[in-house]
Amino acid sequence: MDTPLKIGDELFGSRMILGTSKYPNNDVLMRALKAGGAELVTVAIRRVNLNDPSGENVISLLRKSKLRILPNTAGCYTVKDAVVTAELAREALGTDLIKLEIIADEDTLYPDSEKVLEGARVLIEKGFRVLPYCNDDPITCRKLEDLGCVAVMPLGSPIGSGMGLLNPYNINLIREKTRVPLIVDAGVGTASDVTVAMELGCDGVLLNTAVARAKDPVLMAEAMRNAVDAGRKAFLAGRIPRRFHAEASSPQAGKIAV
Amino acid sequence: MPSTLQVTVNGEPRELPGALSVGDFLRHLRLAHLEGGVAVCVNGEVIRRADWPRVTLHHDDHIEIVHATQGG
Repeated sequence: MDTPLKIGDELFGSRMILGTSKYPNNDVLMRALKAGGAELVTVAIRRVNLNDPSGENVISLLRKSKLRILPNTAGCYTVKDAVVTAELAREALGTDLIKLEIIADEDTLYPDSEKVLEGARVLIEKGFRVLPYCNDDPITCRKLEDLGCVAVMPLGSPIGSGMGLLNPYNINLIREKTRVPLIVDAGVGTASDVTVAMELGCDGVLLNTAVARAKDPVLMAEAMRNAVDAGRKAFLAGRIPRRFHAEASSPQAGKIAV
Repeated sequence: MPSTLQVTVNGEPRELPGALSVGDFLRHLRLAHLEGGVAVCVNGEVIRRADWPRVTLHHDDHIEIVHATQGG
């Protein structure tokens, strides 16, 4: 029997965190979130359009569906921008959870580890519960945990690339050393990528593009949910070790001789 | 002392009829219906909701009015 995912002091029955961006429309978004069984979803903080403030805000839809909200600091390049964005998110949404994202350049969208560490330190001091998007580097992950982050979220591969887990060995190393939830964030392309992450012992996955940009986002969300479930169960069940030679499945004793 | 103030809101220049509070300014912009979900910072400092009636805007202030939207 599995236990729920615990982030800070909050419990989640679902181990899949879904992004809410890039869907064809809000109807598909909401159906995909439901099909995926998501309980925690990410949002961004952006300027209100002063010339047309009347459009339906997605947040009211998310709240109506009882989804819990994880704001991000996407698009921030500096600690200052990330801290102000987090403070605005806390004010707008009334949550102290924050997905801390400080990127270094727009080609790779790779996290700037130095700034992520500094941003995490400042935000934790200000009372935030920080889930940092970070490199798949065991040392950075350890430092983030030591600072008091409530989870670590290393990338599988660059955001939106769909290349899956490029360095499963590092994810494995991070798993061995990390006690807070380990959530693979970014890079998932399809269901098998999610299963690999969960089989390695990750506590959860965070994905967006792989679902939102699939031909059928609702069906893909369901596939991802099954993939999380399959990978998690395989991890808990304990896989057989890999070996270089075959081992017969059928008994060796009692074979006939003709 | 000019009766109108020039400020920058979400990157755009705006003119205020006078020294409004943050709360009055949101009503002036017809954003009152969004109040539950918006956050405001002035010159890089986040203004807590409880302080909206008390904090007055000044000439040349840089104001950001944000809300949550779709994100990954």
